[in-house]
Amino acid sequence: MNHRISVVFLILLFCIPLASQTGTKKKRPLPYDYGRVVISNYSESSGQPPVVFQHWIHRSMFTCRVCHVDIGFGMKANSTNIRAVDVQRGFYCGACHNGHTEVNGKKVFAACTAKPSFDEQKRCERCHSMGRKVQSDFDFFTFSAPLPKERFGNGIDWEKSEEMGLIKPAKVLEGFTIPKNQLVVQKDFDLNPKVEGMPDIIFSHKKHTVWNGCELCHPDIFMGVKKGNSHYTMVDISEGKSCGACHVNVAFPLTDCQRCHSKPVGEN
Amino acid sequence: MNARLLRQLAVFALFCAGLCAPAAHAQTTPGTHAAAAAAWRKEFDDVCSRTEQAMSFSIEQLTVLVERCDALQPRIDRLEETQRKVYSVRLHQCRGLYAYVLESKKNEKQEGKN
Ligand code: HEC
Ligand code: HEC
Ligand code: HEC
Ligand code: HEC
Ligand code: HEC
Ligand code: HEC
Repeated sequence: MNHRISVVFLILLFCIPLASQTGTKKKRPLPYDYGRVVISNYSESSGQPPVVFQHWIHRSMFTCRVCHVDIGFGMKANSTNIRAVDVQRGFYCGACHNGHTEVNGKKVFAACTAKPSFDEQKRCERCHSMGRKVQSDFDFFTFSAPLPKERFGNGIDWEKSEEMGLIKPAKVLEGFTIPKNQLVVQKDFDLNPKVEGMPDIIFSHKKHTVWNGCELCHPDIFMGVKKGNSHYTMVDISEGKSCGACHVNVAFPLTDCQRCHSKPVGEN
Repeated sequence: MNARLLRQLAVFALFCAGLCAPAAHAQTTPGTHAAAAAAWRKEFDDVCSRTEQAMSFSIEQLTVLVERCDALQPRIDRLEETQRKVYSVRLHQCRGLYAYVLESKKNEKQEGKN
């Protein structure tokens, strides 16, 4: 009996990566393009090329929470509806890219202006860079060389990089993050496996809360109130539901089965 | 004579401070500026700074937090368009979380009775 289940599981294990290769899914992005978002609601119609946003540059400096809770960026490309005026008023990209906010002792270059001078055009291109060959201050290979490796996604083990102190993503952006008196996180738990014989799923509430904040997950991504009540298949997840809201495009991808499907070692 | 000069200087200094203060304010980031100025923002910060403690609140406390969020919505609806867009999303997340934990606690209590 037990044997039959593990055979079924093994078959599934084989089929899923296959299905994602032959299906409608786009081909796997290169490490430096994993987490790349093209924002193009308004640029083109106003004569600017679309904006290219790289997660790897930004997530090395800030937690997801700062941008996706405190600043209010949506969790899907183009869902935020960013206007140049919003940015000029100091919101969205303009929360940092305003010419005076300092990060790591350096003033962050400003974003959109209504009537850019000839000199300012160069600055526009740093973000409005789709389809252009633009000089960047950031080189992915130099950046990632000293960091612990991962097979998938950006090819970087982000969690370990942080643990080792090689990156220190800020949890706070002044004027946006509400000062909190304490951090009482709920007791950690593992998710129950739906298929018998499948290894338990590792999920740390504690770690995810520090990175993402409760309100990013509940109720928009996880609305089922009872533990393990809402079931998803790997197909749902690969379409961006449940864990897939982050683990398809930005956090380590679904190809890394064992990182979710095994017993945790020790207490988190 | 000296005292009068001092007084005049003091008045002048006060006048300057008055002139400079709003100008200096306008240069700070919109976030910090609003926090100092607007009552709705104070209430927002107060209500939504507790999301990560949600599990430690009682059903009654969570109910009050959800109500305070609901009371904020019309005030945010009256803001200019950028702030309305940004804070509607943030309020939606914050209210949603309290409502989620509230529901979870109510369920737990129900199960406890059975
Ligand atoms: C500096 C700000 C910033 C940080 C930090 C950040 N993001 Fe994002 N993220 C964005 C922006 C901007 C978008 C695009 C939103 C839009 O187009 O409306 C985005 C989009 C996304 C998307 C949708 C991508 C797609 O292709 O549809 C996901 C998923 C996501 N982020 C997850 C994360 C996770 C997980 C983290 C933390 C590891 C993170 N983000 C950190 C700003 C940020
Ligand atoms: C939380 C702060 C923050 C937010 C929000 C943010 N950025 Fe950045 N971004 C930075 C910092 C800091 C740098 C590094 C700047 C430097 O070193 O000059 C950076 C760098 C960049 C670069 C790299 C430029 C290069 O030389 O390659 C681009 C492009 C960029 N940001 C685009 C965006 C866009 C587009 C948005 C909004 C959708 C955005 N950023 C939102 C903080 C932020
Ligand atoms: C830090 C990144 C960044 C920089 C630098 C930047 N922009 Fe933008 N800009 C954006 C984002 C993000 C959007 C929204 C893109 C979209 O949805 O198409 C945008 C949108 C626009 C739009 C669309 C019109 C609208 O009503 O929203 C215009 C025009 C624009 N920017 C002009 C400029 C000009 C001119 C410059 C240079 C002076 C510039 N931007 C520099 C990030 C940037
Ligand atoms: C990365 C996403 C994520 C974050 C961040 C997160 N949770 Fe959860 N939470 C989950 C998942 C997944 C479950 C299991 C739900 C399911 O099976 O549908 C869950 C379950 C719950 C439950 C119901 C189960 C129970 O134990 O009663 C509550 C309540 C809850 N979370 C509260 C919180 C609070 C409060 C925070 C912040 C301190 C938080 N969560 C942060 C993903 C998250
Ligand atoms: C980001 C975490 C994560 C990764 C990575 C992941 N899974 Fe899952 N998987 C889950 C969760 C969570 C469930 C349970 C969903 C539920 O019951 O609601 C699940 C369920 C399953 C199931 C049972 C449901 C179904 O779809 O039939 C199988 C089989 C499975 N995973 C196989 C895989 C394989 C094979 C891989 C690697 C290609 C993989 N998973 C990668 C999180 C993950
Ligand atoms: C809101 C975004 C988000 C969601 C939703 C999310 N994760 Fe994550 N998760 C992250 C980020 C960010 C990391 C950090 C590592 C990285 O980016 O590769 C991470 C790391 C992890 C890790 C490694 C750390 C650890 O705890 O050992 C595991 C395992 C994991 N996630 C499992 C899951 C599972 C299972 C789900 C669904 C139940 C899930 N995650 C949902 C964002 C998310």
